[in-house]
Amino acid sequence: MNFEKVSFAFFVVFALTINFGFFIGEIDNPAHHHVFELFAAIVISLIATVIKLGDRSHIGAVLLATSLVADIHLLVAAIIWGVAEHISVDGVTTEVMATIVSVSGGALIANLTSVVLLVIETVVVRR
Amino acid sequence: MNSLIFLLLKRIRLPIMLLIISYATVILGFVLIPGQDDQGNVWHMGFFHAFYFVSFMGSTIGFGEIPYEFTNAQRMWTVFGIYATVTIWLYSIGALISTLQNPAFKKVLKENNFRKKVSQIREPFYLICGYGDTGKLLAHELSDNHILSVVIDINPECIDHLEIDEQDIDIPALTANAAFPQVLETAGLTHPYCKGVIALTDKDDVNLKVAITARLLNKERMLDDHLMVVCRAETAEAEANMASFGTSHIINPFEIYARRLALSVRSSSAYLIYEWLTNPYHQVRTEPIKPPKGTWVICGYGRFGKAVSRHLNYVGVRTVIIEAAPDITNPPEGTITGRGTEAVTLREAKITEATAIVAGTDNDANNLSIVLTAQDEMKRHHLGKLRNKAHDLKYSSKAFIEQDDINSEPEKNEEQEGKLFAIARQNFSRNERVFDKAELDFIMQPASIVAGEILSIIKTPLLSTFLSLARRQKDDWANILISRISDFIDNTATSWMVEISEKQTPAVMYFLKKGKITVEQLLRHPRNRDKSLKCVVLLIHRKKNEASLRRHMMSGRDPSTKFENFLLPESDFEIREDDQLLICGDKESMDLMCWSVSNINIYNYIHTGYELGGGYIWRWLYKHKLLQQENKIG
Repeated sequence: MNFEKVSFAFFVVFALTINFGFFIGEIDNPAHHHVFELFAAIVISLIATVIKLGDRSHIGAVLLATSLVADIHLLVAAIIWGVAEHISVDGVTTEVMATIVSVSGGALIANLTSVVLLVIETVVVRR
Repeated sequence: MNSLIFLLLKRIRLPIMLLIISYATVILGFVLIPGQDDQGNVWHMGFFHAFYFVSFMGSTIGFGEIPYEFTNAQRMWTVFGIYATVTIWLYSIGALISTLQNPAFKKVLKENNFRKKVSQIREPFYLICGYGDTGKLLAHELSDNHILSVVIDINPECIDHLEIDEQDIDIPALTANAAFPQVLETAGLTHPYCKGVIALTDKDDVNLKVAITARLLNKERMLDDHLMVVCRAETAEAEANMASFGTSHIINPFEIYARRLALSVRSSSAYLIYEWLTNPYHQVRTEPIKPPKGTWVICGYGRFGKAVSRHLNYVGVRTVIIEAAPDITNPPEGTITGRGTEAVTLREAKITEATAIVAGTDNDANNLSIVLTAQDEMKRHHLGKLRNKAHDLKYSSKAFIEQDDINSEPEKNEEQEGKLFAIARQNFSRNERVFDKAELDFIMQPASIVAGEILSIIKTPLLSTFLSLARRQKDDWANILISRISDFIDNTATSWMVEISEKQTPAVMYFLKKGKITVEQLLRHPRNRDKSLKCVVLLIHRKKNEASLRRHMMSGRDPSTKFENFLLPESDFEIREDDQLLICGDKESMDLMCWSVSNINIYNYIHTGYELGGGYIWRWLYKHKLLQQENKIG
C-alpha cells in the first residue's frame, strides 16, 4: 500500500466517473448536464494530468497522453459552453448542448483508456 | 532533451497541483456565493465570470469588481482568494526557479547541451579524457592546428576553467567520469567523425578502462585503424596491459623522457633532431646540449627516477640515488636515504664528484631546492679548492715549481667542475616561471612531453616510425641530417606528411602515370623550379607489393610488416603510388608544397618547366607543340 499509488488510481478513476456523470443523460437536454459537473470534471482531469507528469516509463507516457486528450476535450467543451452562454445571441440551445456533451464523450473515451491502461499495468506488475 | 522536460515537470508537479486546486476552490466559491445585480436581484456568477475574475485577482492585476459590485460575502471570499492564490503563485514561481538552479538540473541541462553539440559535429575530432595540464596543452595545440577536440574531465573546476577563461577556443566539454562507458558514448566515442580517443587522466586504471571501452565499442573501426586510441600510462604494468589489447599508442612520460635523456647522453645530435621534430612549440635549439658522462646523482627513485637511472645505466652512466622512502620504492644497493634538499645528504652522495644532478621527486618546491642546494654546494667546494690552491701557491715552493705542469691541464676541467648539469622535474605547469629562472639545463615537464608526443602522432603518424628508426642510427648519421636540416631552419621547424594518392596529390598522380618522379622533383620550388623548397624528406613509407610479400613467404621468412621504410632517401629516389612521405621543413615550404602537389598547373611547371594553360584548347595546342618538338628532335 502506497499513498502515491492510491492517489494516482483515485484521480484516474475519479476523472472517469465524474466525466461519465456529466455525459450521462439525454444528449441535447440541458437539464441533464449540469455545469458544475463539467467544472469538476475539468479540475479532476487537470489534477490527474499533473499527477502523471514525470513518469518516464512507457505506460506512464501513454497515460499522460490520454489524460492530455481528455483535458483538451473537456476544455473545448467548456469554451463552447462559455461562448454560447456569454457571447452568442441564442444562448445555450439544444444543438449547442449536444455538441458539448458529445465532445465530453470524447474525453470519456480517453479517460476510459486511462483506466484500462491502469488496470493492465496493475495486473502486469502484480506486486 | 526528453529527460530534461520530465525532470522539470516532476519537480514542479506539486506547485502546479496546488495552483489547480486553489483556482478551482476560489472559482467554485464565486459561483456558489450569491451576488446582486444592479437592480438588487439575486444573481449567481457564472463560471466564465468567476474564472475571469480569479485570473486577474490571482495575478493581482485587479480590474475591480465585475460585472456588478460585490456583496460583502463575495468580498470576504475575495480576500481569502487573494491570499490563497497569490501565496501559491509565489511558491510555484520560487519552486520553478529553484528547480532551474538546482545543481542536478543544471548538470542535466549541461549534459544535454553537450550531447547536442557533439552529435552536431560534422568534422573529424578527437576525444580527450582528462583536462589537466596535459589535456589543456593538447587541446590548445589541436585547436591551433584547426583540429576539433571534445573534452571530459571528472573535476568540475577544470571544465569551468575551460568554459570561463578560455573562450577563444570552442571545445565541447563535460564534467563526467571517463571510466563510465556511457559517458564516453555521450562524448562521441561511437560518433562516425571521432578520429581518436586520448586518455590522459592521472589514474592508470581509468585510462585503461577508456582504452578497453574504445576497443569494445568500436570493434570494426579499430580493426581498420579508423579509430586511434592513445593512452597515458605511468607504470610498466599498465603499459603492458594496454598494449595487450591493441591500444594504438601508449605514452609513458617518464619512460619517454628517460629515453630522450639517454639519447642526449649517447648522441647529442640525434637528440637535437628528436627535439626539432617533436617540440610542439617549434622553437628550435640550434646548439646541441651536451650532458656530461661521469656520475649522476638522482634524487627520488619513483617512477621517474627509476626510468632515468635504468636508461642512463644502459648507456653507461654511473648513477647515485637519493631516496626519502627506500622501504616503498625498493632502490638498488648503495642508495642514500634522505630527501636531497639538505646539503648533508648531497654531500653524502658525493655531489662534488658528480657531474650532474637530477631532481626527480613529485614535489616541485623540493626539486628546485635540491638543484639550488647542489649548485651552492658545488660552488662552495669549487671556491674552497681555489682558495687552497692560492694558499699552496703562496706557501709551497714545490707547488710553485710544478705549477706549470699542473695548471694548464686541470684549469679546463675545473671550469666545468664548478658547474653542475642540472635537471629538474616540473610537475605542475603553473610553476613554469620559477623553473625558467632556476638556471636548469633541462626541465622535465610531463605535460608538455605527453602533449608533444600525442600531437606529433596525430599530425604526422609517420613521425614515431621515423624516430624509432632514427634512434638506432649512429651519431654520424644524425650529424648529416642536422647539416641538411640546419641549412634552412632558422627558428621554426615543422614536419608534415604527404601521401601520393589521387585524393591528396592529384597533380603528382597525373604525371606519375606517365613517367617517373624523383624526390628531388617533388621538392622544387613552385615559383622558381631551379630552386628547391626548404625541406628534407625524412622517410618514405611504402606498402610492400604482393610480389615481395610472397617472396618473403616463399623463403620461409615471416613478413613481419607490410611496409618498407626508406630513411633519408637520396634526391634521385623514385616515388611510387601510395607512398607516404614524411617531410621536415619550415612552414612556408609546407604551404607551398601542399599547393604544388594538388594543383596540376603548378606541378606541370615544376615538372616540365612549361606553364600550362588551364583549358582543353590550350592543353590540346600545347600537346601539338610538344609533338612538333619531338618530331624535330627525332
